[in-house]
Amino acid sequence: MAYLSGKTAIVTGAAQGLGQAFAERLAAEGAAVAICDIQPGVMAVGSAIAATGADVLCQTFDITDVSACRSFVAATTARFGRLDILVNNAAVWRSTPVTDPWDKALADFDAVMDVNVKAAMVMCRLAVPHMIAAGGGDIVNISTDYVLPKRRDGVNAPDTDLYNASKWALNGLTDGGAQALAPHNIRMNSLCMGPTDTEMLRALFRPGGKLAHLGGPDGPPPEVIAGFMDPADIAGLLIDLMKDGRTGENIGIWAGQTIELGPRKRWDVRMRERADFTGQPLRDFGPPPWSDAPEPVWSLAVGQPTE
Amino acid sequence: MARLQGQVALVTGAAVGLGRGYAEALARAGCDVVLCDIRPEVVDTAAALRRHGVRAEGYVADVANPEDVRRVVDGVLTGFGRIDILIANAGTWRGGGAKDDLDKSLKDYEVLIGTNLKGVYLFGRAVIPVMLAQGGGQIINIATDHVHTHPGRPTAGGSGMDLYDISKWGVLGLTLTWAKALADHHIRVNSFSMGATDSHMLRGFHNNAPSPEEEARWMKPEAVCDLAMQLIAEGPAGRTGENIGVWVGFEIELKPVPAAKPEPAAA
Repeated sequence: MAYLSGKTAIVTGAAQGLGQAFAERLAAEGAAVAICDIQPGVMAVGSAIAATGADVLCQTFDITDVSACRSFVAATTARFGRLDILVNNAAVWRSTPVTDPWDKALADFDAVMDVNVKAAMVMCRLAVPHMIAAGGGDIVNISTDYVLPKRRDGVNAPDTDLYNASKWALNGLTDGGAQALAPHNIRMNSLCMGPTDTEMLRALFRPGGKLAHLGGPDGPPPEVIAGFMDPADIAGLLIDLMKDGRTGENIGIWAGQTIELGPRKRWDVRMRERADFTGQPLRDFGPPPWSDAPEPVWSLAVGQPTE
Repeated sequence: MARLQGQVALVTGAAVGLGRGYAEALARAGCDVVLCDIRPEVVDTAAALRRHGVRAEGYVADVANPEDVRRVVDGVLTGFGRIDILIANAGTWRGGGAKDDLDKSLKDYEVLIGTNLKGVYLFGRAVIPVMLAQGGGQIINIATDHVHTHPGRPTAGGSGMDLYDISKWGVLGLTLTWAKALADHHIRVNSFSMGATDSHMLRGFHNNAPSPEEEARWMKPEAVCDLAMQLIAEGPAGRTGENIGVWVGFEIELKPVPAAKPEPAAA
């Protein structure tokens, strides 16, 4: 019997990239999957997964629409009878320089926070009662490696304050949720990954994108793509994480490193690794502890190739 | 010792408690101060600070409301012409956690993310252009020790504060990003990750009747305000991008900034 047969998983933002990979892998492990996205492409992803013989429920809606989230979770549990796994993957990235005009600054706050933070909270709140009823569950929030400044300086780029804040904010959801839900056998972790071959990242290299000068009409050149991680590998790590059973951790996944869970972290250092950089001079963060790690040939921070 | 004469500071959530403490410390150092708070008594708090011989003004404003933020910042510019220091102190607290009903959580989200995160964001975004035009400035955002704990203590405010912690982690993200974006413009951005301090918020948390033992544990607001003044006194060359832990049972002090690592020797 497959590892997840009889279980039900929700994956948000599953029309492409990581969300699609998570959904495909969860289905391959035997789970019934309920997937959603604001992009209608999610229906084709659902059809392809269904063609493998898996149970799939597919809806197209805006994840910031709370009532749509309610009916999606209700439809999922009505159809499959239970909910065991939630992957909060839907996210947006926006360039938000601090010198933006006031009206853009206002619109960006809601646009970024509502998807990356509020929707994740909403989906958690909706899923938890069903997981408690099912006797346990797994919630995985998708974050970024910049919130693990052991390796980074804590910042994605100086002109994405809202994206950075939204991913830092997820720490609060994961950390508090893991503690609150542990007695119910529900685990909550974050996957904090570096550049992964997703549509969100590729789009930056296309004309009009932030890194367009490094790409072309088709997006990033092959040598840049070669430095991206494969979403399927990250999805494999998701399964490993659920089998492992740890909770309340930020799992760092860095390009150029082995994609693995690593040892469990001590309870008092799970989230607080960022304290390691506190007090370090901002512009001299120093080499990562893994100085043998090849850095990407481009940098989001400056939008220019780096040495 | 009036070492901040001629400078203008804006302190949010300054009618009572720690916010008032920061404003008072700034005024004592000769800094003109503008206070804002959702509480109407902010006007009186500001008036009382004029005894230090500085200009002081109070605005009744909700930091989560963009129009209010614009009104305050535009008002400061009209009245004072500049903003050198911003202390984004306004914050609020509500309990709740992962097992809460969604409707309750949505209400809590509006209040907590609105005041604690959006309020910091809005004031920062309104003030940063002013500081850029001036050629420098200082921003202190107030977070919580839940996001930067003393050694041996796990992060988070336990199992029942996830939305509060979300808002404060978000503040840390803003602090780090702004520090990086503004480092070349002589604008310093730091935050305080503070443990239990005798503040209006904490007294409210204890129903305004804390036990004497509890109260005795708390850090004194004067010590925290003094730390803010030390941070400001570092001047344009001071530290930036630091999330400063201010913890019960530990020295309340600024740790020295570690020396820059030497360049790796050329091969």
